[in-house]
Amino acid sequence: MNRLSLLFLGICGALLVGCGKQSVESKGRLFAASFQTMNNPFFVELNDGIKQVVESHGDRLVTLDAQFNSLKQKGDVADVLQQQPAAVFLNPVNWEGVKGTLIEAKRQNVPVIVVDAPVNDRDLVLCQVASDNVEAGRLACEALAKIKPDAKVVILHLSVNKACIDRVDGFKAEMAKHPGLKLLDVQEAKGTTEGARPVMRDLLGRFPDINAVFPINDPSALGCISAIESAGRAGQVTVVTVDGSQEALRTILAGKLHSSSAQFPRQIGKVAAEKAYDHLAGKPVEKDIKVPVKLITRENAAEFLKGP
Amino acid sequence: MLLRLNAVTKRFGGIVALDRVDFELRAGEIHALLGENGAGKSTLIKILGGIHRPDAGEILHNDQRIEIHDVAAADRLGIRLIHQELSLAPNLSVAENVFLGREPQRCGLLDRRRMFREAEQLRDELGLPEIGDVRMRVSELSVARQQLVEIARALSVKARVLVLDEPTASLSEAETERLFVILRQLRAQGVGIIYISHRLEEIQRLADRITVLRDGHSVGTQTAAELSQTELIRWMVGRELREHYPRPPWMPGAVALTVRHLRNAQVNDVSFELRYGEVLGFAGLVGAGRTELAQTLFGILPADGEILVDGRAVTIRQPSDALDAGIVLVPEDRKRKGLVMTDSLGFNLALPWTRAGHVNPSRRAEIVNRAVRDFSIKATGPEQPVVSLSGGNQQKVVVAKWMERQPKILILDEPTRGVDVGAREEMFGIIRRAVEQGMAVLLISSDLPEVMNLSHRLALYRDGRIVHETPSQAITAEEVMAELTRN
Amino acid sequence: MKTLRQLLPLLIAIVLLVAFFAFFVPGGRFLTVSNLLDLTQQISINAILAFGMTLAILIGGIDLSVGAVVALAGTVAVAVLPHAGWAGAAVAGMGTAAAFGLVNGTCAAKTRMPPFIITLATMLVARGTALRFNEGRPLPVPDSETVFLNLGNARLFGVVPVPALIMLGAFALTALLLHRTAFGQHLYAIGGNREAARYVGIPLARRETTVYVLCSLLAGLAGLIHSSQLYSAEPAAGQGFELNAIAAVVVGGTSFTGGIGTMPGTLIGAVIIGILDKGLNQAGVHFSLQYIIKGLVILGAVWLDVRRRK
Repeated sequence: MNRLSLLFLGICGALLVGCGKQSVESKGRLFAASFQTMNNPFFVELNDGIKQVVESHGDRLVTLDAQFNSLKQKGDVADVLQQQPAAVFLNPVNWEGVKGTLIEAKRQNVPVIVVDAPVNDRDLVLCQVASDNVEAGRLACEALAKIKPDAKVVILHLSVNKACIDRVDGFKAEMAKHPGLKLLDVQEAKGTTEGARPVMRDLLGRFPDINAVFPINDPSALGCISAIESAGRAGQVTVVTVDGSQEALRTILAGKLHSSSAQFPRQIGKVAAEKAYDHLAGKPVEKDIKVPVKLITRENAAEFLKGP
Repeated sequence: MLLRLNAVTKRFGGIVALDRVDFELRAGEIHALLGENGAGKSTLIKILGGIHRPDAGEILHNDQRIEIHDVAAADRLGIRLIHQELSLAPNLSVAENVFLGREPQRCGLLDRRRMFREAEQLRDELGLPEIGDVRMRVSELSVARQQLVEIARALSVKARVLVLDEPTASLSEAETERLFVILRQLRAQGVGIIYISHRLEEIQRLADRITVLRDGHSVGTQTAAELSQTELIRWMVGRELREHYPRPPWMPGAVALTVRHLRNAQVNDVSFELRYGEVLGFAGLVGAGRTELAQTLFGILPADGEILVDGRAVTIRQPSDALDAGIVLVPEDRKRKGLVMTDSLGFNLALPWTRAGHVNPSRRAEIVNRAVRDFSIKATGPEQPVVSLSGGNQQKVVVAKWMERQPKILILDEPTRGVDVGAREEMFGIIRRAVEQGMAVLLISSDLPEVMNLSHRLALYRDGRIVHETPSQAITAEEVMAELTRN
Repeated sequence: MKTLRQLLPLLIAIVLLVAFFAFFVPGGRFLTVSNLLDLTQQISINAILAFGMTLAILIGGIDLSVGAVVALAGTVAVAVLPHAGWAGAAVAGMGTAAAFGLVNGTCAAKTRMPPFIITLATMLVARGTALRFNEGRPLPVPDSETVFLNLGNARLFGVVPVPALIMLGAFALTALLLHRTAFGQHLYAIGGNREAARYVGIPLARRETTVYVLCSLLAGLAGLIHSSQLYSAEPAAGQGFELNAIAAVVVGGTSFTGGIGTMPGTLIGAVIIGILDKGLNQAGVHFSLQYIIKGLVILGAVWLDVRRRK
C-alpha cells in the first residue's frame, strides 16, 4: 500500500511540477482577473484584451473562473491578494457579495478595477469600465426613428440586470426627442431566445398595430424574429437591439434584424488594463469609464463579421 | 413450561413455511431442532426473535399468552438469538459489538474503558480466550472468532431463552467443546436452549429432547436418549414414500466434462467425470460448497486445475468462456442471478441472444414463442413482467433461455427450491428431456430424495470436497444422511 | 494509535502538498501565517458541510440537498434580519434547514425511496424556495448588523477567523457525537450491517432521521456564515457545494458503501482540497488545469483507499 501511495503521490507531484514550472518561469509584476464565468465568449474576449496589454508591459496575468460561485470568487481573490498583485480586475458574480473582497483589497492597497458590471460600493474600487449601455439604447432608438418615425414600439426587458436597465433608460430618453414614436408596452422576457419567443407572440396578438420592437439583447431579438415569422408578420415589424454578436450580424445581413448596437469586450479589457497602468504610474483615473458602442446595420455589418 | 407454540402458521406469499407447528421448551433443557434445509427451522426461531410474526396460532410464555411484536419485545422476554448469518458490525471492535444497542455510558458519552473492561470480564467468565483482544475490529477477525463474539454477545445479558442456529459451523473442535460446557452450565442455571445443527452426533451428545421439522410440519418430539440416529434420519428424510420421481433413462455416452484437481478458496481439490446422457447428482448440506463449485465451473469464481470438455482442455475465466464451451448454469438464486426481474418474459428469454449484439424482432419472437410452447410457461404473452410469474414459471424461464442454445452441459443448482408441486413435476420432465436429447446434467439439490432419485450417479459433497461417489441406486438415504452429517 | 495510523497517509499528503506549494508559489508567499489563516477561513463552509455529509454517507445514505439548503437558510436569515435581529435570523435560518432535514430523514427512514432521489428532490424544492425571495436577486445585509457580519468576517484577537472557530466547534461536536457516544456506535452498525443493527434492536428510523436533521442543521449553519461572508444572501448560491463536500468526505477515507469513516479524516479531506484549491490558484495554474488536477487527486485518493481496504 505504501509503495502504491508513493507512486500515486509521485504522479501527482510530477503533474504539479509541470504546471508549476510554466507559471514560475515568467517574470514581471503579477495581475489577476476574476470573472463570474469563463464559459461565455464575451468574457474570454474581455480577458484577452487585458492580457494583451499586461503582456506587452512584460508582466503576467492570472485568470480565475468563479463558476458563478461568489464564495469561490471571494476565495480566489483572497488567494491572489496574498501574492500582492499590482492590480485586480474583477467581474463580480454578485454585486452585493463582493464587498468583503473589496474591503480586503483596500486594506492591502491593491487597486481593483471592475469590468463589465457595476458594483454598489464605488468608493472601494479604482474605477469601473463597461460598455456605454445608455448610449447603446439611445443608438437603437435613433436608428429606429430614422426609418419609422411613427413606430409603435414594445420593449422586451431583463429588469434584474443593471446593463439592461441602462439600455432601456437610453432608449426611452431618445424616444422623448421623437414625438412620433409611441411605446405600447414593456414586458419581461428573461433575456433569452426561449424566453422572448412566447412573450413576443402574445404581444403580436394583443397589439395588431405593432411595427417595431426593442429586445434588450441579441438572444431575445432572435426569439422575437422567430415569433414574428411564425405569426406571418415578417417584414412588417422592425427589430432593433444591442450586443453585436456574430449571429446577430448574420441576421442583419439576411435582412431580418435592422440593427444591433455592438459592444467591444476586447476593447473593455484593453481600456481596463491601460487604466491600471495609468494608476500605477501615478496618473489620476476617472471613476466611471464608458467604452463606446457602435451601431451596426446592413451597411457596415460585413466589416465586423469574422470568418464565414 | 417456559415457552410453548400452539399451531403456529407462517406463510410467505403462497408458500407455507410453517404449518400448524407445535413446539415446547422447558426451563433448563437443551432442545434440538432438526430438519432438512427449508423445513422451517429458521422461520420458527425468527418468530421467537420478533423478526417475523405468525399468521395464526399462539405463543405462551410461562403459560401466559404473549405477542412478540419486535426485537425489543423478544429482548424483554429474555430471548436471545444467535443467527446463522453473522450479524456483527464489521467496523466496530469486539467490545463495541458485544454492547451494541446497550452501551455503557457516563454523562451521555460512551464509557469505553468500562466497556472494554466488562467485555474482558465476560470473555474470561465464559472461558473464551480465543476471542482475544476485545479492542480488535471485528472485520479483522477470522470467521470462527466472529462466531465466538456472537455467542459472547448473546450471553452478555441474562438470557432465559437462548436460540443458537448452527453455532458450530465454523468452530474448531476445541471451541465446540468449550461451547458445550458453557451451554450445559446455562442449562443448569435454568436457561431454556434451542439448538439447531446438522451434526447429528453433536446433537445426540448435547440435547435433552429433539424436535424434527419437515416441510413446515412438526414430525414429532422425542427425548434424545429414546431416539436412535437411524430413526432420526428416517424422521428427517421421510418423504420418499409419498412422492414419485421419474428417473430419466440412463443412456451414458462419451465423456462430456472432465474436472481434475479443481481448487480455490471454496473448492478443495475436486475431480470427477460427467457423461452425455446422464445425471450426476451432488448431495450435501447447505454450506457444503456445492453452489461455489457450480460457480467455479461457470467461470464466476477463479480456480486452479483442469477442465476438459469433450476431452479438450478449456480455459474458463468468465461466464462467456463457459458458454462458448457449451456449459450453462441455472443458478440457485433465480431472482438475483437468473432473471432480470424488472423486465418482461420475452426480454429474459432473448437475453442470451443479445450478447452478440442486435436480435431482429422476428427472430426474437420465434425464440420466445418456441420457449413458451416447449416449456409450457404459463404467461399472458411475451410482454408479461417476469416478476408477476409464479416461482415455477420463473424457474422455467431461466432454464428455457439456455436450452435454446443447445448446451452440452447443463448445471442445475437447486432447481426446485421454492416452487410448487406441479412446477416441480414439470422441472423433472425438463431434466428428463435434456437427458433424452443427450445432454450431460449436473444436478445440485439439498432435497435428498429428489437428488437421489433423479440422478444416475451421486457425489456426496462436504467441506468443498467429494467425499464419496456412487451409483445412486447402490446407497440408501439413511446412509447418505449419515455420511453428510458426520463431524 | 489505530486511528492515527489510518490517518497517516492523509497527513503525509498534506505535508507534501504544503511543501510543494511552499516551493512553487512565487516569492515563498504560500507558507505564511496570514495565508494559512486565510485557508482555515476558506475551507470552513466546505468542512462544516462535509461533517454532516460524513454522517449521512456513514449510514449508507447521501444528502444532495445541502448546497440548496445553504442558499435557502442564508436567504431566510437575511430576509428576517431587519425584523428579528441576528438571533432571530439565526433561529429562522437554522429552523428552515432543520425542517428540510426532517423531511429528508423521514422519507429515508419510513419509505423505500433511495436517499439519492429524496435529497435530489428536496434540493430542487429548497433551491426554488430560495429563488422566491427578492426575485432571485441577492439580498444585502445592512451594515448595521455587526454581529451577523462578524460571524463570517471578524477575526478573534484580530488574528483567527471566526468562521474557522465555528468550524472547529462543529468538528468537536460531530466528532464527539460520532466517536464518543452510543449514537455514533449505532451509525457505524447501521452502515456496516443494517440487518444486524435491526436485530440488536437499534431504532433505525429514529437514528436515520436524526442524521439527516443534523446534516441539514450544519448546512444551515454554513448558510449563515456564507451570507455573512458575502455581506448578502444569494438565493442562487451553493450550487455544487454538495459535491465539494462529498469530495472532502471520500478523500478523508469514508467509504461510500457505509460503515467506514472518521470525522478527523473528513477534516483532513477538507484541508487537502482547500490546500489544493489555494495552492493551484497561487501557483498561477490555469483554471482548466485546476479542474483536471483536482479530479485526478480525488480519483487517486479513493482508489488508494479501496486498495488499502482489500
